[in-house]
Amino acid sequence: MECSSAKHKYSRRVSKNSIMILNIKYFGVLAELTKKKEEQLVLEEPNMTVNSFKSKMESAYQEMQSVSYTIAVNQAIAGVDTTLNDQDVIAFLPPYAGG
Amino acid sequence: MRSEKLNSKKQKEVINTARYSRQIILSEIGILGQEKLQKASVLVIGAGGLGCPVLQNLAAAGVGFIGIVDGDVVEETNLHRQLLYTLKDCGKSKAITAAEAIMELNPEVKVRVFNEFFSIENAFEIVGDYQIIVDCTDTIGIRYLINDVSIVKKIPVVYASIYKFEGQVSVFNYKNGPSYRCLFPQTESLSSVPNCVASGVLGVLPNTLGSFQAMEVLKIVLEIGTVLSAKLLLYDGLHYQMQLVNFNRNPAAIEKGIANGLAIQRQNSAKMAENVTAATFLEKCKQEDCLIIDIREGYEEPKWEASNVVNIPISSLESYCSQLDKNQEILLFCQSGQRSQLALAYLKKEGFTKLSHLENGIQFVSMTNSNSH
Repeated sequence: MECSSAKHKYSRRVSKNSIMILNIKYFGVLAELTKKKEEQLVLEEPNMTVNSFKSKMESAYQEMQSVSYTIAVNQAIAGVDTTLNDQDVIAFLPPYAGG
Repeated sequence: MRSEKLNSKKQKEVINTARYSRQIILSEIGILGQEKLQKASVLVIGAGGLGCPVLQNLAAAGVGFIGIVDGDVVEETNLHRQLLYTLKDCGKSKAITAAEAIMELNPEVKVRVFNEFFSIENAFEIVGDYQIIVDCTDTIGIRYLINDVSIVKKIPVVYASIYKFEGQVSVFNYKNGPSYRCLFPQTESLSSVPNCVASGVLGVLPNTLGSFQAMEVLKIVLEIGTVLSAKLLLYDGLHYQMQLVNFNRNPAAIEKGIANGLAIQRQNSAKMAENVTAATFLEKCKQEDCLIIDIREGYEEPKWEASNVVNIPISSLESYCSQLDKNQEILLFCQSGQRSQLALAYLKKEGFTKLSHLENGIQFVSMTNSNSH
């Protein structure tokens, strides 16, 4: 919680340039669908929510639409209305069935 | 002789202490901790890749009461990861074989075997009053079922699941903490989530994750350390990456779990009340306000005599239906319990409210009844 205010100030400064860098991590079957464990994305849309980012990703990787998954932002599960900030680490976490 | 016996008993006690000495010596555990373990009751659902190391570790640590649920049999393809089993066990029940193996490892542990798959039909009956549930299943639907039942029963669930070289671990419903549904609220397209059969798995992986689960169980029982509640541990064996993701209670998801769990509980208890045992049947024969209907044909033996028993063959049930009071308590029986179950379903559809049937039929009752005399 203490870091989020610091991060907020930082992102405001960056958003003047209208560029947001996001670090994405894929887990389980999503790493296979996207063919990568992680990637860095540069977005020119500040104040994007988790929900709109999810739609953006699902149009970039259409197979993701058929997978159920949860999204974590900076090591915490995030609601769909959460606003993304520059340098956020976003994890795509599908449930695993195996046991 | 007598002193020899006493000595051997004393010797046994010394050995028992020796068994746990390396953990009793830990200041966080001690004799008190070992006693907590001895009193603990843990239900392990699934005796496969995760279940085997969980069972081994819990039995070895001296957890007093362990329930094992699995309706599957051992196959050769299990042996690379399910280390409680050997080649000679192939074709045998996993639950029974696992129980034998851990009782051999530690005869002090009391094991209850449920040689059946965990399902909507038996969920509440199996879960009973266990202190902790360990989810070692391999089907997403059953993970939601375990979650919903355990929310209603307020039992913590130690969860793990695996995918190829990766795994997830968490503890749900712990001291009012978040549940599985808080982490994965969506249930759409879940049938597409592959299990080990479909996607493959490195044998070491479930053994690692199962050991993590056993660790959480022991911490909960011993009340030590930080329990993995509200945190999801992500493990990647291939790249040795481990991280924790925090998550909170999601009230809507908890509500959904409770609603679903309560609906299943109602079904379970209705079903349990509908299926009457031989002992209850004999009690009901003395209860004048209960109408007992023998739905067998007139020629079937043995006859059953009691003042509240009438014979209405199932073939005539439909025409007799209108003469019966729909709010009257009615107990149906036949030879084996199959026809009485059909008759019960029919009468229920016709609007009868207090129905039950003798689950294993009159044949079994007359046997036990005559044995008791």
